[in-house]
Amino acid sequence: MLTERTRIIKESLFAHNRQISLERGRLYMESYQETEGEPVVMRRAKAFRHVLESHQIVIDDHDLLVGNRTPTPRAGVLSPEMSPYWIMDELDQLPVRPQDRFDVSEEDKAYFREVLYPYWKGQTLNDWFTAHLEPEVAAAQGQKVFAVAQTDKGQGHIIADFEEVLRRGLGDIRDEVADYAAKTPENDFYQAALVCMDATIAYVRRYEGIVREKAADPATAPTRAAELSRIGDVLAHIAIQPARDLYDALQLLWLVSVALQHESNASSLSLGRADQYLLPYYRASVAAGATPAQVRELLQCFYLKCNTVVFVRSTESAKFFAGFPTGYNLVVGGVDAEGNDASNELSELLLDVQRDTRLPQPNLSLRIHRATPERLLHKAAEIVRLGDGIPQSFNDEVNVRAFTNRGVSLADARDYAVVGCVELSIPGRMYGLHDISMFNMMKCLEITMRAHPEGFPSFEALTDAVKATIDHYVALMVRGCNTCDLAHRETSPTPLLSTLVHDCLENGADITSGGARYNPSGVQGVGTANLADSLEVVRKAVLEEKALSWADLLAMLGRDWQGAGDEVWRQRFVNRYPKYGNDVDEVDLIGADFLRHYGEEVAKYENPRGGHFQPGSYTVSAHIPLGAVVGATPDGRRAGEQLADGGLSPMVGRDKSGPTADLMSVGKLDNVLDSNGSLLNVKFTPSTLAGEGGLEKLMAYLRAFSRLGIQHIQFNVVDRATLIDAQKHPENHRDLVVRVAGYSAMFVELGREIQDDIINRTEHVL
Amino acid sequence: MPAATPAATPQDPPRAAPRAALYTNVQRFSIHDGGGIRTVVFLKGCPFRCPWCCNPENLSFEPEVSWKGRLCIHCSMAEGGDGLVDCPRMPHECPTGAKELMGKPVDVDELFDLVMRDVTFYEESGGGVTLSGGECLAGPNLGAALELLARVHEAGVGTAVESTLAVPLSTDAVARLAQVVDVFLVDFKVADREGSRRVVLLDPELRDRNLQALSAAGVDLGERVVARMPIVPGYTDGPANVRANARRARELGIRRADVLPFHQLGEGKYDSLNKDYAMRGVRQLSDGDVAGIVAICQEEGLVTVVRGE
Repeated sequence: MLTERTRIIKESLFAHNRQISLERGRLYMESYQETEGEPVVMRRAKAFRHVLESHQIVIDDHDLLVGNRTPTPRAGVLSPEMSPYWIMDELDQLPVRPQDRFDVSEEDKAYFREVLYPYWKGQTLNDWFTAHLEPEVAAAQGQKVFAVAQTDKGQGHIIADFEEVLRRGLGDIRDEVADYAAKTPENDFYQAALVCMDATIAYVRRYEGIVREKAADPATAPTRAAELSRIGDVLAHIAIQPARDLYDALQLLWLVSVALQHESNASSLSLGRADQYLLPYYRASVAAGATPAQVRELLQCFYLKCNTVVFVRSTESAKFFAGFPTGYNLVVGGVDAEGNDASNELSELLLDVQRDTRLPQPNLSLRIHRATPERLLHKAAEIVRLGDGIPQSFNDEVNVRAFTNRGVSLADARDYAVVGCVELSIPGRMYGLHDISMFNMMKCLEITMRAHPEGFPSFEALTDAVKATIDHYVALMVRGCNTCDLAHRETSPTPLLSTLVHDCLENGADITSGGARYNPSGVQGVGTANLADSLEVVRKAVLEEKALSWADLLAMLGRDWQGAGDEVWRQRFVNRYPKYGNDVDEVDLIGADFLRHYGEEVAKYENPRGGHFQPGSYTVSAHIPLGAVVGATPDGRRAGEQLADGGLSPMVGRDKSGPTADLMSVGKLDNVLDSNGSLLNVKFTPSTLAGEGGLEKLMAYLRAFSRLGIQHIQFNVVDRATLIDAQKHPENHRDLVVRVAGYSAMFVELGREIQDDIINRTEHVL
Repeated sequence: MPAATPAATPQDPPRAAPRAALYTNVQRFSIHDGGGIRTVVFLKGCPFRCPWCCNPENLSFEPEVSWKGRLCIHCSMAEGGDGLVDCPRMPHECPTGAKELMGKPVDVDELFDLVMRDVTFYEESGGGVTLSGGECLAGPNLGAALELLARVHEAGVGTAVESTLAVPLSTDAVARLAQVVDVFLVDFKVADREGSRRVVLLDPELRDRNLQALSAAGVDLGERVVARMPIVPGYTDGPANVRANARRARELGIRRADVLPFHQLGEGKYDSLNKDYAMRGVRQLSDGDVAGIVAICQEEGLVTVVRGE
């Protein structure tokens, strides 16, 4: 249960409409105006410092932790230094657009149009990207075969080495940076990193000063003054020193996390394996006499803090990532460096706090392996059954191998965590550009079919042609991703973040210049289910049964099933041929063949940081916009209709053989190739999981998931009726949290299309 | 469209070979039918006629055609038509699956492969395979049932049957069932013998004799039998009936009972088969409605679960 304090904090999160904040944009510009001609990495460091020195600090009247991104919670921070263009275009739309709305004051609109836009125009990340993007790649992107991401915002999708921050303290890391900077004065990265470390330490002290001032204010109630004094003591210590207990640890973790947000303004600066790195501090607090209630309230405060930050996206981007997936992904469980179970008492507690806060962040993830203790699995099942879609589960039995297969050391692979939604990463050691592009395999099918009005003599000829199309566009996508990669290097290095990622200090290079130990680029193949279903229909109906001609099929697709009698064929294609997700080998193996082909193809390419491309298979909410650009397909999909959700999930409504068949189908894919991460949605009705028997079946289902070698699974456990009622009466369901895709969101904050999609995903009921 | 099989018309469904068992459905991820995650195979045909039956497609031993109006797109008949009468298409020609042939001949090898697909889930959950129906142990079904159960049992997977057990079983059949079935989910419906024979055509004494025979063949009825009590308004929900059933079960040595509150999940199936349904519009029972019945079972010494494990 929330305490009185945390209940008030939770309510305050949703008390006001979300605002747009231009504070950071203004401060960034002020600094840039003074650093003309300096190296980019130093300009970024100084701008970062200026933000930390000057942004408005707000001390809540109740919170036990301090650290605010914006003056009001859940405000959207615009980054005109990344791209002012979409903002200029959409300024008036932000309060009324279908997804992720924000209020903007007229004053701010004018300030943006008259000051910020003219200043940044022509010198941003997006300008660099656009200027260097090859026309051929731009044209392909225009066809919507792929969509390179992070061309107008920070890269994010990374986990800093929080374990080291807590263990060594900011002062010790700062001194190490100072040594490097002194030894190598010509290295701009070191100089910039030193500015950032000093700025971060000063930032902690700035909070301390404000907190102590407020504590001394006679208007502050004595009980609150005592709390503030305690916070002041914590801040005074952690400005330089390592954490001593859980209070220190959470406050330091949060302030460093906020500083990283101020630096990058990016999605998914994730939290990593908190049950591992917080454990010594938790135990120290318990040993020093902290009560379970005190510990719990502190964790509640931390979880609520994770919900104060939302990420504002362009309208187009918000279609792909609807509902503010800020990406405070927090992992519990899994194996240690030797492969033994690493879970502990804190793993269960971190899951259990979700029961109190019931919000989308932090995005809890459970790592499962063959020796995951029953107790932890039971706890996870209890929390899943609450219906928030939390935690999602990841499978060590395949994910560790996925990394070693890419050249990650076994010990590092066993330490994997999750960034953003479902992207697998190595905390503190990997800059993985995990969300750099989505690839629309269904668009490739459509292009192939239209390019071959003569048809194909055999199924192999057809699949070879589709694969050739995929290969063609993968090559173009890779070039687009690499242009974006370089754009971040040239315009947007992140020296604070780089200081906290190995081996940037050893290498003397920012992460954007290849300083990290591991440097992949992750690109997601989308459309496996629809591709398998479509090709199965063609194989059987056209090539084997010869029930209709290739030309007839093309004509029907071209007119989107609108001709006389077309609906009969469409129904037949939907209902009378096997579909992926029902444990029917002949169609499942088509999906497996294409996912493997895509994975092997992308892995052939390198990026500018010396890393390789690697495949993932998740859609977040992109199955809707990616479906919108694909015409009618032989699986019976209508033009513009969504693609299968998730990434590995069957097409909505086509999996009719239950949740075990779902897993059997997904288990046939070569999941170990998807080292960037993949996503499977499963929905249960609450009644299916009722009682202790229901929990045991869910646990068994999770253990089977692990044995079947599937990477990821997440559950929505909500009644269809509840969701439909929430659409009709959003005012009654303001607190309803649902799973979208690798993350959860407030249902009423989602646009209609995504709401409908969540309602329609197959509900397994008995 | 592929040519129609001449024999297969809605008015004259294809006859299976004499005595061949039919099945209508294989339901994976069943969770209230014998413990753990299970696959249930529904064999077609039942000699009894419970008015509340929720699987009317499994009453007849013959193949039948069903038609679900809500799925029909009227590709071959006018709107408002009855698909079982007016639609000329064969079930296999129906594009939407509105028209379906209920009753495929059992091929034990094929069914065995299908039910074994979820073995990972059985192992992790302590589940397995359940045969249901219809009456899966009725004469026309018994041979196929025993064969499939034996195959599954040999493969090391748990087996269960949902049965009235009120069917003639030879000594040999009893011995084989004792060997290959782990759990018997046995119906206790109308306790009074005459009432039962009149209402559902079922003789509970035959069931009890079969239970005693199973006991004699080595089945510990306390461990391996669950009394299943459908609680149906006006038929089985009287306290005296429940108590009589519970006592009878205890006398036989049964220790566990599943109380199954009446539901209406079968209503649509009657429509799709054009069959009369005696329970139309009768309110479904909630867990709360059967609290008193659970209490009676518990008083009589039965470990009682609502809706089954």
